[in-house]
Amino acid sequence: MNLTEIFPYVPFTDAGFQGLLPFMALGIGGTLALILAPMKNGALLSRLFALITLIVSAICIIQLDGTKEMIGGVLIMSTKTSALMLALHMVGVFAIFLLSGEEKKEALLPESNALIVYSICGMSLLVSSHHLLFQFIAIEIMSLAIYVLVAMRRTHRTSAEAGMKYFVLGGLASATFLYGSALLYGSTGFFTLPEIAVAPASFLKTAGFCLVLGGLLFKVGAVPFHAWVPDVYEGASLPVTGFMAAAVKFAAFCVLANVAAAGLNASTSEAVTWILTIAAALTMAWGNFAALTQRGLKRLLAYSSIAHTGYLLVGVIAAGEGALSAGAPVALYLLFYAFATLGAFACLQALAPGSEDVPMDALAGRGLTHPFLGLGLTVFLFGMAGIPMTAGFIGKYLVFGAGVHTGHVPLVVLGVLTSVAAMYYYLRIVVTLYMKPVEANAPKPVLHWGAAVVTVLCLMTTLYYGVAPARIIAFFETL
Amino acid sequence: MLSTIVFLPTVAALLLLVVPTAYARKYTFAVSIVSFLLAVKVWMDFDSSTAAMQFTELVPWIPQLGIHYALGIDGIALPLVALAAFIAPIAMLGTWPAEPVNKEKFFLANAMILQTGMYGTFLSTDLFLFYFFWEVVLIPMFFLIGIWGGQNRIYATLKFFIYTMVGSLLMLVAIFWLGSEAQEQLGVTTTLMSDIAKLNLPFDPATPWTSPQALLFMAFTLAFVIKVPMVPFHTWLPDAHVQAPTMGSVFLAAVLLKMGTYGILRISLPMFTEAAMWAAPVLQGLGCVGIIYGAFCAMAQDDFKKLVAYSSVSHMGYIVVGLFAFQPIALAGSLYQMVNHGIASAGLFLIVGMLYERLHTRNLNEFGSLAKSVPMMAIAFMIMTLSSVALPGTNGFVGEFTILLGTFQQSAVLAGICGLGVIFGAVYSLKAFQKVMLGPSNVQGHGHGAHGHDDHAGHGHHEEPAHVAVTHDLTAKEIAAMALLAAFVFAVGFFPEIFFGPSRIALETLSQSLTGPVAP
Repeated sequence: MNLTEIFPYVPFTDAGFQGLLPFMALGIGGTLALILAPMKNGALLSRLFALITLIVSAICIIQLDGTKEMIGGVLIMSTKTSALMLALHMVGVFAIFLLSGEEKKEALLPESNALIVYSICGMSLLVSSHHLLFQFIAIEIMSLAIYVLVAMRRTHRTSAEAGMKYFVLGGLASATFLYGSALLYGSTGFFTLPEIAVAPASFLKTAGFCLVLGGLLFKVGAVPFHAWVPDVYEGASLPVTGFMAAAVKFAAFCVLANVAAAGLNASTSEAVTWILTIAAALTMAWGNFAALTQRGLKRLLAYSSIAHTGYLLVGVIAAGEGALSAGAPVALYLLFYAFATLGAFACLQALAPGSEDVPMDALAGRGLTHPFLGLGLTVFLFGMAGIPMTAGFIGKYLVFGAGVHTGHVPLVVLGVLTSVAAMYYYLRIVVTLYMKPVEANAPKPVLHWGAAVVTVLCLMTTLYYGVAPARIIAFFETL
Repeated sequence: MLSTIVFLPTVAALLLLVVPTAYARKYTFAVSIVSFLLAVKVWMDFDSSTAAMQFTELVPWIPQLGIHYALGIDGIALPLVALAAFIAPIAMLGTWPAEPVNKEKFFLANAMILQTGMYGTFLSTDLFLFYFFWEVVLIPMFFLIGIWGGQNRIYATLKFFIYTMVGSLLMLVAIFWLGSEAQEQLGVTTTLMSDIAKLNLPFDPATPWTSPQALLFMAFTLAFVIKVPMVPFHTWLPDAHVQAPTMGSVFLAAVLLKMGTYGILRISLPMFTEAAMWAAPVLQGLGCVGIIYGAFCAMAQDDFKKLVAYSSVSHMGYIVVGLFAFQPIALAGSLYQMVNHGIASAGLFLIVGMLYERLHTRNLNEFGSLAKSVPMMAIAFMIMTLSSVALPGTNGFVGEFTILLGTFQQSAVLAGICGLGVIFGAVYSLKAFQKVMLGPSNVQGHGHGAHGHDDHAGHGHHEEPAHVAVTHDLTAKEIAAMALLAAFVFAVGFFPEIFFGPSRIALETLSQSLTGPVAP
């Protein structure tokens, strides 16, 4: 095997260097934040440095003009990937805001700020790469940071268990992904997706696609690879859970959409369509119905996030089959879902009593005693449920509309029918929030400034894009 | 103009944040009066010589999906908008509490956002916008029932919300489908109702169940008949009505139910005519069952509010029968009945609320002989009852008679069965009046009845003779509310042309497009 064939060596150009700047900034900044963390005032310093790093990196991304191909086309920085990366950076900033409120309560170490930066670096690599091996490395950079973040909630024993579970199963998924990549390379001679798509069909190629997709379906939490989601969501601290639901899903879906598009546009389309359709149907049904029985809010939101994975898979199939403005519905759904999730976790952070999971009763009556938190959480839950006036509705409309447009009417009907179940469990939270009396010895909600900022920003975005989505849709369609 | 009508309540609800709680209700009332005046202005400027949409507003909203912010009003929407605008201040007046309710401002804000949803649903001329407002209505109603409702309110509000949601989500899928059909046939993605009506949707009588038009028709119509509600999709209604606070019940019965029949009239019939004709026998049959079944259920109730709720099921059945008769007269009658039932049911729910506020019970066996102590209320109750049983000279007669006449032209048997409903209607309505206002007094403290007293276990009327508590008759505000309703009942009863004249051309045009140009 000729190594330069796999990792083509291309001398650095200025343009290529400019494209790598954000990753360098993230790497160096993250390391600085890590070094500063154990010092005196480490919490403040590392948080500050992590924020500055994310902002610098975001500026570097904005500065890029036009499409840049780096390392011989392995990394492609286009306006589209830039937009996705910026969205991820924003989620990272929000997560650091949320972490600032929980550091004391959950005895989190200040190093978590640095880990957020590292995982953002991995995610940014992931969304901009078309090379399966680079994607593998990016997944590992992202995941290792997240494993640690999950296990870092030292006040609760389940946290370590969740981290370990995620680590072992995540390792298995990565291995599956890698094995699939090897098969694809073996059968086609390429690691880059566009070339793989046009390569002649073979059994190995189909098998390779199946394995790669299997690994990615694990990362997005699709049934039947979903079992880790509720345990990990429950074990991790609230900001980390929110970050995972918003960012990890976002990045994993971007790469899943790329791989699926390559698989659907090639001779493998039949097998890939089947895998994705079955996964989507199972995920929507299982996620929504399992969520119905949950008592703890984190587990409930975990299952609801599985259900959202199902809706998104419908969008991925439609995008791969060339529905209008491929990819835009999925990306927008992910973005709107990220806002709703982060906002919801910010509100929960204020309302949660600090136990392992957030019991439903902790919210009882709080909508009336704390109108701001009540309004926020209600809007975010309505957003996830896809009720008009919220961005979530627009996202759902786009994804399901694309599904109908490509002829997947039964899948969409299943989606809307299972989302009636979703309606019930989201409403149950709102009912508790407004229609149950406050628990006698319930702790008073404390709204930290970080969570308040996130709530306000997410609330504004969720409502604004729910009513006036035209411009952001136009923007994502031109990408 | 129309945008102002739609969004004035919501803007006012936001401003409620800075209004002191003591003035919140007066402020809300003033806003509803302004809305009403705006509706009157539209009525005055309305050109009744055309069936076209008027006061149209058309702004691209989400151009990529062909979604427009499109409002317009024609002769079909006009009476319903007027109804909503008329009911809003009356609902405020008739339920004015002595002291602010718990979380008064939130309550009023919900009532106002509800109005935005109602106006928006009637005025939208874009399917997406229609769906948007259709759903917006659910949220304030969900809170109104769930926070200020009776003891079993959470069950009722969840049932209401989810039941309605099941139907409307399938409607959403149908809207996607139509949008994508439009893309193929017209070359542009659009959800404007006027464009969708141009689509050629195949309907094959040999395989009706799989024809696109039939599937689309079913998706839309399921959403509408759940809202109406038509038997067997009616079970949410008694629960929601009984648990809702009076204002919620009034809006629900008077306006929200009409959204369903309005949807049939606006979307199901003109856009999917062939499929509608194919399904008409089933729907008419179910409507007929609803008339009789609703009436029997109403007869069996001891709970006054449940009785009125079931009477709604029965009366709304007429509208369904009339709509699917495909007769010009029945179609017109259905529109009349929508408004008239709105007035009568609003009046009856107000009466139930007033009685409950005074006696803390809704059990019909715990009233009696009240006409002596509350004569004004007895008069108002009588007028509303007469309107509800369609006595000639009241507005109820105009609607039900026209529907029956039109249905008779189509099928005498069907009209005969529906006619039975009128008789049963008289039975349960007069029974209710008799048990409340006449006969021996059964008002004995209360607290050992089966229904209705649950929220007030600790009140202190046990020692004194209970009718003492009833002595105060209608307050000035309540009199105003009931007098306005009564004026409407008789005005429309004797001179229906005043109210329904502007709708004539629109109805004729619609029925011509449905039944061909040979309208009688």
